[in-house]
Amino acid sequence: MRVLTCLIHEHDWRFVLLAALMCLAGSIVAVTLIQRTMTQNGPSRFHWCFMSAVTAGAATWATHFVAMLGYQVVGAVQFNGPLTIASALIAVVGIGSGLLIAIHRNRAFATVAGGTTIGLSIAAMHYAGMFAYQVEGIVRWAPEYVIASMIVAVGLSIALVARLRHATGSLLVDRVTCCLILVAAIVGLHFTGMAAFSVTPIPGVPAIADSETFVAIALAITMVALLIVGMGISTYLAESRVQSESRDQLTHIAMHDTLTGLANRHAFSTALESECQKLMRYGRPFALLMVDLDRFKPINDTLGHPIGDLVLDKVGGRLRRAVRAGDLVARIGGDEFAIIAFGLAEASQASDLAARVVEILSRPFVIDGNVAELGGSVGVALAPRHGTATEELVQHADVALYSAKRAGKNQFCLFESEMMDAMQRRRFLEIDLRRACMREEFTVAYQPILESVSGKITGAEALLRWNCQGRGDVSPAEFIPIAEDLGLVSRIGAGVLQQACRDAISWPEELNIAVNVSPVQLLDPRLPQIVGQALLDSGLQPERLELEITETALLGDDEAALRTLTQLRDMGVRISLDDFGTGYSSLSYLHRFPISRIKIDRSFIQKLPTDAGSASIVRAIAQLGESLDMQVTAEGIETAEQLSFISKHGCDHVQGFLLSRPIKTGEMITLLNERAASIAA
Amino acid sequence: MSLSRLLYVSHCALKEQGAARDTAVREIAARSAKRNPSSLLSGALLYVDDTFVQVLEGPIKAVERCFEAICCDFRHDDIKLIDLIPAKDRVFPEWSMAFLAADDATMKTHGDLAEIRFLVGVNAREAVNQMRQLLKQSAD
Repeated sequence: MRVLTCLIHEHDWRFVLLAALMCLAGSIVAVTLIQRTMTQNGPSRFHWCFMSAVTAGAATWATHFVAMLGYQVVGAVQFNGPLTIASALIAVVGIGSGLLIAIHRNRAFATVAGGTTIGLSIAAMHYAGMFAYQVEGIVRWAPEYVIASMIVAVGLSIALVARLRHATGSLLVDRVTCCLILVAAIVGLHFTGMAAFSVTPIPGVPAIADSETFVAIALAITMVALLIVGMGISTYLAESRVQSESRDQLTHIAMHDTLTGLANRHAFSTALESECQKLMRYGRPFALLMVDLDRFKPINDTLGHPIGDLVLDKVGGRLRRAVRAGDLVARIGGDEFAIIAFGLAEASQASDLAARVVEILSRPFVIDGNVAELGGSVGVALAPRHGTATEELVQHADVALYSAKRAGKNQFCLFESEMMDAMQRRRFLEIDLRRACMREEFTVAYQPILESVSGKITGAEALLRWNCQGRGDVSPAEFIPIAEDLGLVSRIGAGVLQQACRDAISWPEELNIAVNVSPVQLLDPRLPQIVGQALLDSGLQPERLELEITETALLGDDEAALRTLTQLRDMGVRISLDDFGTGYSSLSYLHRFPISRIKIDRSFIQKLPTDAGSASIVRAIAQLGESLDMQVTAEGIETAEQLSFISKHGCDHVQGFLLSRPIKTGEMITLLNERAASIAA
Repeated sequence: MSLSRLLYVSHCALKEQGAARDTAVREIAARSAKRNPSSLLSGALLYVDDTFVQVLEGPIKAVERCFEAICCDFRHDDIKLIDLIPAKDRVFPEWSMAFLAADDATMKTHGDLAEIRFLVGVNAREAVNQMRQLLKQSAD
């Protein structure tokens, strides 16, 4: 056909080859840039559009002119400068406009209108170029080929836009396909257009072929065009790198804790989820460790947050050292961390790891000249033994952590299913306890205290009892710690004081009442006020009231304790030291604090009179009391032998099951009446 | 330059035993002696009865960084920080990390070292002085 004939016979193949290479190179880059234009949002879209247009325009224009330079024609050829430049501009502006339309929201409109604009621009550039091509000869145009060329250009351009907008999964496939369409459009237009063009030499005018100049011009055009294309490539690559770097940065920020550089909560959840899936699919076990710092909050409070942050950073570093390479360490909260140990199957291995973590956290931290001793507690859950789902594992590790905390901190705990039951029981107990406070379900029982020699009842110790609806009797040993944690102990304690004072008022005047005060209550600055109120409401004389505190109550903030105890003593209330001999007793306590009675712990009484050691201790305490002018009570008298020993060795008062179990106030009154009656008799 | 001096004790937890352990300890001391000058640290490391007693002195930041690295090391455990004070002068300026261990060659006896170790729990300053004395003795 005419087009092929034109291509093969009327063009110097070397120029055609150069033009073809030019076209291919330019098209690939142009398509890449156009793809970018399509995916970009916002104002940068226009920049990409401009670059694409310049690259595509340069490629098209260069292809045309190099091919023209290779057109073998008889007759002198000249290129009209301004038109040549104009054709380049037509190409760029036209393609640019076409692209802007092609990225329009309405797909149909964008494809057709945009494709048409691009196609017509390429055609316009070609024909402008043809008008710039001044040859000596008679030029004839075959209109059917002109129209055909435009149809080719527009048709393929529409196809190009359609393909660009319909992206498949593979970027490379899209790019190559679109490039080939664009090349087909450019080349198709050109040679179909050239088929429309024929030159008949004017007879008599010699043909002056200036092939050297043409080669030079061809090479110059190609070079410039390639430079433009090269710039397109560079810009694209440079921008891609920046994009990918900033994407990496964003990913890092999204997945990491900024302070410590450890994985953050999000990364941790993702990793845990992924591990659970691997467990299901391949059976790969792992261990989950939840780490909680023990004494971090005081650091933040006393040394300030900047130092606190530095400490956390160091903690992160230490945790990284304690784990094996490849294990995940994450910071999931203020002072909460988590570790996923991949591939860990044995409980012993997990325990070793947890032990290392506990040990390394117990070592001192030095920041800015300040020394901080933190410590950490660890809860361990193994997968699949302790669970296979993320929520389950986290819950179990948390329960184990809680056990470690309750057991005294600075240790680790492996999950056991009993813990869940204990946890549940505690949770329900908390609910019941709160309700008990509201409903005042508590009662007070009294254990009489007798004079050891005469056997006279001199008073009673008030003991808290809780009969929980549906649960029965709950021992104070179990619910008092919970009450302390819930902050209910002051309220319950106030209730006990009120009740005890009220009941004591109904007893004979010479009887005293002793009420236990927990360490938490002692630290409450409202305690003197609460005691005062109880005395006032009941009308009980302060001298009849005795408050029993344990040695551990004096351990903590002893300044505050001293203040409170002094206030109470000034009110007339007496203080006795309970469970004496078992705690961190320092004899200086007896001296410093306003104590009027020592109660020897039952553990010494139990072993009397056979155990010589206990006997010596009891004797010593009795003598100590005497020399310090303090009363001494022996608690837990259960046998007659214990009673006789005690009476012989200087304890003023006795208390215990042998003498009487704890009884209600009504029974107390009955007992007193019986005694009174028997004395009278 | 404001100096600080830190003193701590710890228990050796190296896997090696006997002569191999002694060699390993010597290597630890030698390596820190090489590293310390660049961070302006000096001090002494005493090793007796599987116990380390170490003194670090230098700018506070360097001391803290070094101590943190020490606290991240599992070759020892039971680390107790005994003393951390600002200091006017270095006690061990000649040594980036002097090493004190029972040694026939330098005439340091087990008794001398054990005495220092005991002294640490009672009077840290005196213990440091004694370490210096012992070093000077062998140097002379």
